[in-house]
Parts: sequence; structure tokens; C-alpha cells
Amino acid sequence: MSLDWGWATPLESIAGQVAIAGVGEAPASERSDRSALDMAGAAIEAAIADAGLTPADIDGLMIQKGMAGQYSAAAFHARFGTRQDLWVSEAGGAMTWAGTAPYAAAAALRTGRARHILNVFAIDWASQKAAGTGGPGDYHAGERMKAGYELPFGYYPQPVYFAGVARRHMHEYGTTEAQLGAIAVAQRVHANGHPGAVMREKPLTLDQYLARPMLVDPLRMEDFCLISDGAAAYLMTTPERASDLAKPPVIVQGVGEGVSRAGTYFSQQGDFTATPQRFAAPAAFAMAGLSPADVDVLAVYDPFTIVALMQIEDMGFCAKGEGGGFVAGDRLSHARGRAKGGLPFNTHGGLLSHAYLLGIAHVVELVRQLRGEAANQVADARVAAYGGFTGGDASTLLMVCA
Amino acid sequence: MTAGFPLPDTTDPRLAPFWEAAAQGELRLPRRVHGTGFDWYPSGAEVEWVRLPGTGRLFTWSVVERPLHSGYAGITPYVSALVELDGAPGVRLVTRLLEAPDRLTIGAPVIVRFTDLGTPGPETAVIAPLFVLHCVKDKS
Repeated sequence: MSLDWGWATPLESIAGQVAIAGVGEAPASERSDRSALDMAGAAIEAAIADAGLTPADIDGLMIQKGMAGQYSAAAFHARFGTRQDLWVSEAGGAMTWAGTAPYAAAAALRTGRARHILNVFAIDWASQKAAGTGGPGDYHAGERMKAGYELPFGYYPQPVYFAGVARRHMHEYGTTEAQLGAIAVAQRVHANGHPGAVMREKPLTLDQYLARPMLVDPLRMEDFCLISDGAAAYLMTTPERASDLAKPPVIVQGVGEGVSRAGTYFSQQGDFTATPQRFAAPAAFAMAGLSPADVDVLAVYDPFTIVALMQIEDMGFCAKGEGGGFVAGDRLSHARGRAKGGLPFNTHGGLLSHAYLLGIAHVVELVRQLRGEAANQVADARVAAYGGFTGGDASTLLMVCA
Repeated sequence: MTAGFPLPDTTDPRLAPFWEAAAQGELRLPRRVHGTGFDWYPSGAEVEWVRLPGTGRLFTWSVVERPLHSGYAGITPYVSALVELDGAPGVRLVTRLLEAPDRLTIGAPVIVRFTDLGTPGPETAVIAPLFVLHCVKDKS
């Protein structure tokens, strides 16, 4: 397959320039009627405390562009009673940007514009859904070509896009429903062992998965992400400063960003059964001087099982098309490390079974894995990879123990 | 009774020729005047809207069992399909197949059927290129 359908964004190396020194969350849940702003504040407060800092130490704030109800300098000062000047960037948040925020942060740290930078993301879509407003389809419903052409033909929302991708992946590579189910089951088992997971009390076996009805054939409800309320934040600083803080620093070693020429017009993407990870991951591994074989724990933006599967392939953890066979059995379990042929994957449960926090909770989980404080701890985890995804863009973030 | 069905703005200049052609029972897509290939989705390049034969092959499909948009109640369950069109290499047309899903295979020949967007539910008064399987007769 030709690679002219996308590209990697050229990025200067920031290997070793950024440390993640604190992580925090507001509890994830189904409908809670909490506001995104309040949850973001709670996550920020927890991340600052985790690092052993105080709100007055924070001088940088990263949020997601184009999403209502995210955080602001005014909200920060109102919550914490502070007055300092805050560098605010819209190059942060979740999805792809949970992986690329450290790149923008590196420049601010290098120039001295900021010393302690928070990246935060909050979402209240479970409450919005209950109120009949908002949700993940809104962007697509409002986009001109989608509204003017795709929606009238029933090609909407995301489950319809990715069910078609799954069918084509099955056709091209022999991927099976049970192999998609193996991803759903592995992540559910992780959620069952994670105190913060929305699906903690709900077991799922492969037999149960296969017995569930199709929602958008060939995908079942269990192939879809949750819709949740919650927030998470991580705190970035230089590795030098981080070494004096409360927790063992986690060092950003590589960042990559990939772009699909077709953007979110998924039907027209040149390689229909691939993701822009095909471009992001090689760039990140090159920056880090690492390879997929070095990764001890992987967390990937998983709106649907098929999207998780394609990114595992596109990031180089197996050959393209072999993802179905690769994820079968217990390979994705946290208990079976790389030394035993496994690939510990979405060890908090991911978007499918932890919560739909759009990927920022994935980064929080990986930081905890590298510190040795995860609920489903991977033995001797030293290298972690996050695969961020927005559809038209993807990112790879590689982190290592200091 | 088309309440809530997501109707297209058939006057949007980027797609008006597509919908105008469909109303006349023709499938037309924008081919670049300069360079090669089709400008799909339209980017604003200079194009001519060329008529296509309306045949092609099924690239992929899914079966939507429950309405995921309130406006789809009248068409659900339905087969969402992408079709590779004869005469328009590189284009995958977003459409619906008016077929029972158990008859479908990837690569199957399909042919356009101009019909109301809301088929088989309430009429929307917008004619669109939906598709059916194209059973090519055995000439032997």
C-alpha cells in the first residue's frame, strides 16, 4: 500500500527535555451532573498535590482547542485564590493532543516561559447525553460535507464509519469478530481490577461478547467506547526540577504526530484500514532511539475495538494485517509481560471499559505504570507508549523511567 | 413526515450539481479539469461534473440495527455502504444499499437506483443515488 495518504509532522527532538511529575483525576462516572470546569479543577488540584507542589507554583496551563467548557486561567485563579501570570496554550487536552502536549510544553520550558505546566482535559458527555445535548457525534453532524452529503445517506455517526472499516479489515486480513472481542475482554478484565473504572463491577467473557447482539454489524455495544463524565491532568516540568519533587519522574523520550490527507472524511482515506499512527509512531520511535520491542506497556485511544487493533498494527507491534491473531488469547493482559510474549495494553480498561476521557486517562495510567503504582501493575515497566487518535490525526508519546 | 431526517442543503454550491443530477436520474461527480482524477470531496478545484454509468463494486458495508440519529428511525435497519464506482477510480461513494444484508459480499457488483432518500420510510422529496446488487446475467 502506498504511503501517499498521509505524513508525519516534522518535529525537532525533545527527547529528555520534559518530565511528567504529577498526575490527577476527577473520578470517572456515568451521568453525574458535575460540570467539566469543576471536574477539571479537581483533576488539576490532585495533580499538583501528587507532584508535591502548590497552586502558586503553576505557571502554565494547556487545554484542548475547540471544545467548550475546558479550563482557563480565570477558572484556575478563582478556584485556588492565586494571581500569578499563567502561560495558556490550546495545544493540549486529550486525543492526539494528550500525546503532543509535551512537545509544545518543551518550548515553554526551554525558553523559561513556564516552569510547571498542567495539561488538563474534562468531559461531561454522560450528563449532556442524559440531557439530550452534545456528545461525540456533534462535530461530525456540524461539518459541512458530512451534513450535506454523508448524513443524508445514513453514514453517521462514528460507529457507522468504523463498522465499515472493521468489515473491510476482516475482508483484507481475515480478522474475526472473536479477535475484536479479545480486545474488549482484555480491557474489561483490566477495568475489573481498576478502582477508578466505570465498568469495574461488570465482568465480560468472550462467550458473553459473542452472544451480544450487533448494533452496527459487525460491531457490538462491547466494541464501542463508553460515554462518561470525568477529568484528568498531568503536570510537566524539566527533568532537573522533577527530580526534586515528590514522585519519581517520568521522562518524555519521543513524540510523533501523523496526519491523514483525508482528515475525518474516513470514506476517502487512501489506506482505508489504517490509521495515521502509520506516520506518528515511526517518528516518535526515531526521536526516542527506541523500537516497539522496547515498550513494556501500551495504551491506545480506543473508541472502537477495531481502532485499537489497527493502531497496534500501525505502531509496529505486529505486522500490518496480523493484529487479529496478535491480540487473541491473553496477549494484552497486564499479567503477561513482553518477556512472555505479551503486550500489556490499556491496563486501566481504556475508553471501552475504564471511561471515555478521550485518552488523557491513558497517559495518567502509563505514568502510574512507570512509577510502579498502577492497579494492574506490569512487572518492571520501564518504557511506556501512548497512541493518541483523533481520526484525521494520531500521535505517539514515548515515556521512560528516569 | 420527514421530521428530523438529516436532509442535504441541495443548494450548497459544492454539491448542488450532484443533487441536481440525481433529481434527473443521473450520477455525476466532479472530475478535475487540470490534472487527473476526481476532486472528491470537492476542494474548490476547477472541475467538470461528468456523468458516470452508475455501476460499481461494494467496497464495504455495515448494518445499522438501531437508529443512531433520531432522524433515521424511518430507514432503520439499513445497510450503510461504500461503493467503488466504474469510471471514477479512487472515489468511494457513500450510499445505502437497498438489500438484505445476508446477500452481500465485498466486491459484489452494484448498480445505482435513484430513489427517495428516506426509502423505505417516509418520503423526503430528495432523490438520491442509492444502490442495489447488480445481478449480471450468465451469458453462457
